[in-house]
Amino acid sequence: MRAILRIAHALVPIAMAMAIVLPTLPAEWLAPLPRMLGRAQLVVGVKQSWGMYAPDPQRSQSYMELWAHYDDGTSEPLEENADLEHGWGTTWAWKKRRLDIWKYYANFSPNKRNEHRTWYLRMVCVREARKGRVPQKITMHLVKRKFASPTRVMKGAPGLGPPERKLITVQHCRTPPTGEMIADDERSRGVDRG
Amino acid sequence: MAELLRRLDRALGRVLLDPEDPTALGLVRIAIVAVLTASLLTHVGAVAEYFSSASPLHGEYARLAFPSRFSLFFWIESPLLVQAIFAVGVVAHVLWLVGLWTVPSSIVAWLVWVSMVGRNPLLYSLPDQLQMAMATWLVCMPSGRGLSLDARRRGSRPVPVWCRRILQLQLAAMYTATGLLKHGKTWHADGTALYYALLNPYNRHFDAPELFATLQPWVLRPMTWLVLVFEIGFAVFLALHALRDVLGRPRWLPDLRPIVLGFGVLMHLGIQSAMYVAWFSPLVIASYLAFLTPDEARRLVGWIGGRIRRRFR
Repeated sequence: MRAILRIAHALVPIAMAMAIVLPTLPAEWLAPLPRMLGRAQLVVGVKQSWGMYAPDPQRSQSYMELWAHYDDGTSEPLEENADLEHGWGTTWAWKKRRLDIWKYYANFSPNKRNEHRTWYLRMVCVREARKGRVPQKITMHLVKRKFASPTRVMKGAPGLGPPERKLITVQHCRTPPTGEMIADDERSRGVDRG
Repeated sequence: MAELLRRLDRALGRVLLDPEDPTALGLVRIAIVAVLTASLLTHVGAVAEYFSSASPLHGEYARLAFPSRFSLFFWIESPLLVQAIFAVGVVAHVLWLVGLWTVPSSIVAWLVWVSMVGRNPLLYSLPDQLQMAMATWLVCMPSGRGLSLDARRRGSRPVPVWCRRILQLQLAAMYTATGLLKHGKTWHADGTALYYALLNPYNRHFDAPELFATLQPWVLRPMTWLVLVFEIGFAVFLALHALRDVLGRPRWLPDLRPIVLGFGVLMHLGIQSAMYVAWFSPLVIASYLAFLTPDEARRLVGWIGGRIRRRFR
């Protein structure tokens, strides 16, 4: 009986150790176990993929530039664009908000579909609609500045290169599901546009 | 056969099951939960905006955006209720920190974290990822048996040695996995990874490219390689550390903790001073306490207690 209890007790840390180590192994080694374990832990917010500054740290920094376009032909810059003005100096904890992390994820993979970006822009449509006018669409550009190599800086180049601006996507605010998100949000807040 | 089983049982005990004084685990609990509490408090003022129906992404669309996650806030959406749950979470953290009703308070505190991260995982980054992992393992451990108000009421009870080993393993998995993934040329041939990390305006504390470029060949390049060796080698360090423990700390197997963890502390203090990394460095350094033996933890606690008593006498 004592032996069974000891083995049962030992299974607890062994299971925890497996939950820590297996998801970090290449999926092809023990497929599909690492992936399954990774997904199970994700349900409770635990993620075992540790890729900071890997394979390389960033060699450029990009910020999003968002414009809301309205039915009457007018356009307005959105609050995200403040980063384009203030985001090239230094950063301290008290300047950061958690929404900055979402914006950071939304800027990933500019040439591919990025769900984080899609949901961010849908959220922006709802946020702007709450202010009064529902935008027809939101355009997103990325403004990127490359970091100069140490050799170039030693030759007198500035640390950050000139801004490069590129259109990334257009988010329509009236098409599903974004239009439905706005309608649902207005219903839940008792807003009647009728 | 009986002798073999006896030896296996002995090894199992030394590696995982032997009881030890709970002071070391209690100290780790206090340090990690202190960081968790501080990190939680940085949400104050934005709780409703992030997690309730006051967020522009809420209701069924929030569930649609993050389908693989669990969160109480997918169902409880009223800003007032969400803020009330958050407040309960803050109280639970304080109770967990001082070790009062440790098991229920730790579960409540953890559930609040799971709900926040699950409600919008895109508000959280890698430092939070380590936070969630450490919090989850700590909840599964009898961490309130030492240095706690529970222990004062019920008396101190031993904890199994695997508790500290799991926290050590989590650190090693993080370091080694990230070290192995750093296969780009900035980490290897160029040795410019730290230079570029320091130059990034997204999280740099100092805008000094000329200084960093000057330091690059003599300081930053060797440091880049040293960091890489440290990260990849952490798994080897952990294996040697565990072996030393299991063998009863023989003289021929030196204690590598002062060198490895000392370097780690300096590295994380350097990172914290040079760039914004949220609560990552304090959390990692707090987690290093899992490498203290119960005797060392008792001495440290005694020393801190003595200083506090002298100060307030």
